[in-house]
Amino acid sequence: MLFSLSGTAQDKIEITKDDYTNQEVEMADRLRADGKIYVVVLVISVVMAGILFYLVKIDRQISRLEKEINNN
Amino acid sequence: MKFFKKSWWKILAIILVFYTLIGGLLMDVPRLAILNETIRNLYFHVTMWFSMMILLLTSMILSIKYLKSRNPLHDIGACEFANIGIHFGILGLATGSIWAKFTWGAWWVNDPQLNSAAIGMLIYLAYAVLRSSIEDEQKKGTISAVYNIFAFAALVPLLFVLPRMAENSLHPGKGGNPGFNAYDLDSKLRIVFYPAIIGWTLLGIWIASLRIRTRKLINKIEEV
Repeated sequence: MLFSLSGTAQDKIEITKDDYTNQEVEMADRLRADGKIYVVVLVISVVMAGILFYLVKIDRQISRLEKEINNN
Repeated sequence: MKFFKKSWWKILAIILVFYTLIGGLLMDVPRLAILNETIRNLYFHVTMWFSMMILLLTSMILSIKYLKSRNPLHDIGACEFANIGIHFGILGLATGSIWAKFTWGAWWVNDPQLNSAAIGMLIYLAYAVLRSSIEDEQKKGTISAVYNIFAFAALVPLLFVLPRMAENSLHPGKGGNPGFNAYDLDSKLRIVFYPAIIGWTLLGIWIASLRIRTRKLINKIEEV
């Protein structure tokens, strides 16, 4: 088992600086150039904010219940 | 328990989750063939499994504590941490399936990593079934705590040892297939990847803590 673990460690392919500038691989360049990706990021952020806000509300509600029940 | 009521780590969770979403979508990533932009799934799919392991490890530790202390709170904690861990695992399977469809060409492939991850999730689903099938509280606590310890002991080789020993695997980092190791080496990916693990894990702890507090309240009401 130890042998197989060290075996996989040697097979690593390193990511080089060229990978970041490689124009042959297609990426969402136009989406970014048009700035539309920010709209998507904004929409996802709003959804996540809504969910997290709900979580905070549940948390507060439980805190209030804890106070009420523990005082009685 | 006092830790559950503190708010600093919940604020940290919110900040890290937003950093993951925004940084994960906008920051520079290496341009690799076949993967293309899907390399960003590293921050969302891979982190689900990392968070799941931390949550299930916490659950197992609480089970050991329960066997020592017989404190019902430890049993509730083990149960709820296992629940949210299973939830993250199912999200990991679902997101992995989507990623596989668009890079490997199929929703599910007969791959050692995928199959053993599915078996691992089934073992944990059996934990939930086991819990609900025992009426007596003490019996339920003891049997499910013992099962939980064995389940975690089975999950580690299923996810981290057996797939690595396999001859072939499409999944990065397994069966001599390089990939995840390479991402891990890249410092630009790491500055989102590690905070993402912490962020998702804290979010999981938060959800588990709410359920634990609710169940504590229910127990208290039932006592009266």
